[in-house]
Amino acid sequence: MKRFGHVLILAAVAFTLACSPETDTETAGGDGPEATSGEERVTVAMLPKLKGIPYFNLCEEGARRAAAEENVDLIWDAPLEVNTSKQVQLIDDWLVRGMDVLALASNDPQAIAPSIARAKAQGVPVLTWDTDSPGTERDYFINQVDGRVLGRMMMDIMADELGGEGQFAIITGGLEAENLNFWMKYIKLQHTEQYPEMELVGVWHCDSNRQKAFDVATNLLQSHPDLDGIIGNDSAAFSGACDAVEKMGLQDRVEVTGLSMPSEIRPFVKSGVVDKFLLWDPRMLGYLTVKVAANLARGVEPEPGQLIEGYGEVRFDPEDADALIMAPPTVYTATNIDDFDY
Amino acid sequence: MKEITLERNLFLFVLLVLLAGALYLNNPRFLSGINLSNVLIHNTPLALIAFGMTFVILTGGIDLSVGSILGLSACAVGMALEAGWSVTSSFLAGLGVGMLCGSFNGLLITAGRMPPILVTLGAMMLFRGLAFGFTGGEDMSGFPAEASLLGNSRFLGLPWHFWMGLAVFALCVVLRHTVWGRSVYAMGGNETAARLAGMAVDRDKFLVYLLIGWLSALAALLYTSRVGSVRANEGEWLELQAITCVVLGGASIFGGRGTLWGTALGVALLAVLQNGMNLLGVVQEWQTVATGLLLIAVIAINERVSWSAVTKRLGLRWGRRPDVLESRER
Repeated sequence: MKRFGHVLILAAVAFTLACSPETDTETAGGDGPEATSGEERVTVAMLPKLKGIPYFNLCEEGARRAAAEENVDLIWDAPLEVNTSKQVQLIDDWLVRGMDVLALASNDPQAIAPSIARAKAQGVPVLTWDTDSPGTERDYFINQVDGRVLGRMMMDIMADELGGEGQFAIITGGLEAENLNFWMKYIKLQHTEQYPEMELVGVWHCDSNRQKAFDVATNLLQSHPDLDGIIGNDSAAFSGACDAVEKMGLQDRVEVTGLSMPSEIRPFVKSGVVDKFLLWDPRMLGYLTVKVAANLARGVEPEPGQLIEGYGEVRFDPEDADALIMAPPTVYTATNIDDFDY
Repeated sequence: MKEITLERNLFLFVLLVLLAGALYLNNPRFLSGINLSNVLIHNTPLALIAFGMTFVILTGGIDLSVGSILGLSACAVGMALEAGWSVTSSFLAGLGVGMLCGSFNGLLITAGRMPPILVTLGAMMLFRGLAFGFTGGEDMSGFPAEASLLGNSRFLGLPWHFWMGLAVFALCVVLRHTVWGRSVYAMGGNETAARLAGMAVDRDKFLVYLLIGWLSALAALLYTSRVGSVRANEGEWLELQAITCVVLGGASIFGGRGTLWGTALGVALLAVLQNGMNLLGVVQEWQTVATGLLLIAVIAINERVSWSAVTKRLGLRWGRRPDVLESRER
């Protein structure tokens, strides 16, 4: 018994000590000029909203690829659930640890503002990505998609599939989600401007819950027998609508399109429910963010027309001089869907 | 008894010093003022709840609802502020909600004669559900500037968190030495005996749950004021962290044994470990693993090592007649 205790104490001490040499190399990376590409090694800390969901895992994949190319030590971490105070704690600890650029996707722009200010006070440039924190001291926002283009493209796909006439409905995630409403605004604008022959029968919402979207769409299809199409404004709404159309055997009669990950919609493309749909590449978002961050760490500011290897030309939001916008979303169809492994 | 506790605490203290030393060697900024104040600020809410949890566990009970009480109180504060209440009345409302929650648990456990683990398991879901129901799961923020004073200003050069933690610790130490405090230990050791000895077991137990409800709300104020944002999931897992700290501190999960000093050391150990892992770049998933391993290791050591024998062999003998003490312990 006693000996067992001694072994445990020794193990605890050993564990404590073992922590030090292992990480020496990692943290010292910021100042160690043992660069492979001739460029100084820099540290970029990237904070997604949370960890462990497929979307952010893909962002991480892209971020890691860019980090390897750019000689960047990437710190990628976040709370395991949506929690602003844990994000704040993590940023505080990172500021002690030391980093060259902070890139964050905050759950609450106002609550994260003091953390951004503390980073700026330490001379650390701050990027926001995926979700902006407007009104803070952040330097740039990397926007994954131009909401105007996205909304109009969804409407174009629907109109194209219906031949410019007929009835359609929109199912959105939640009525209060700012980004969804922004996209919907442009679906509606494109509808009234370009396709006046078509009729929007209404907008329903599903709390970003796939089961609820299924129920909503089922009711909708029963109460509107003449309905020709459904646009799903977020991934839950879209896939729920697909479920409903498939279960009711209406795939030849009703067109469905919207936004979602290829992995989620692939079966519906195969079964003929969906012809075309949209999404940006989450990996490209992580990739671009790290590329811009690495440039910032080396004193290169992003500017319109700047060429970024592996991505292309930098574009800015016409309405926000500090917001970069990623290339137009990818259109997935029956012919290309198998080219995407996510 | 006292001597054994002292030895346990010393072991925790040595572990803490070793951990801190290793972290300092790795990154000297670990001991910088800014980092130490970060550690303090981020862990004071946990400490407040862990102090309350010490009493709960001493009675042989448990409170799984503290994280949810924190969430509900924080939401109450947020909603009051959004409704235009003054900062003082909003904070008081938050404290009131916490004490109501604590009373709810206390009444069901004492008057209702229900087991604490079941009552507070239900309450954990009930209070969390209420927090989500009332706020619709939406973030609340944009509070008036005075609301963030408590969480972001200093007194005598140290954050308010420090003074608050110190005050609550002092209060708890005082409480522990009152008649009430002795009753808490007594009922944890043997509730029937405590009843037969004429102690007001039900009243004293009720007060334990009221106290922890109040402390959870106090922690909610610190959170809200610090971050300036409220969400219904605030404080998730905090109940388990608090229990971890208390047990790390050498308390018996079956009641009757444990000290506030031990709990304070437990909180410090967990806090330094988490901060250290953030500084070292250990990601959240593995931090959870490391915390679990630490708890199991410390408990395994506490349960198996005959402390008296260890100190005797090392020639450190402050425990009188260690063998007698140990046999009483078993």
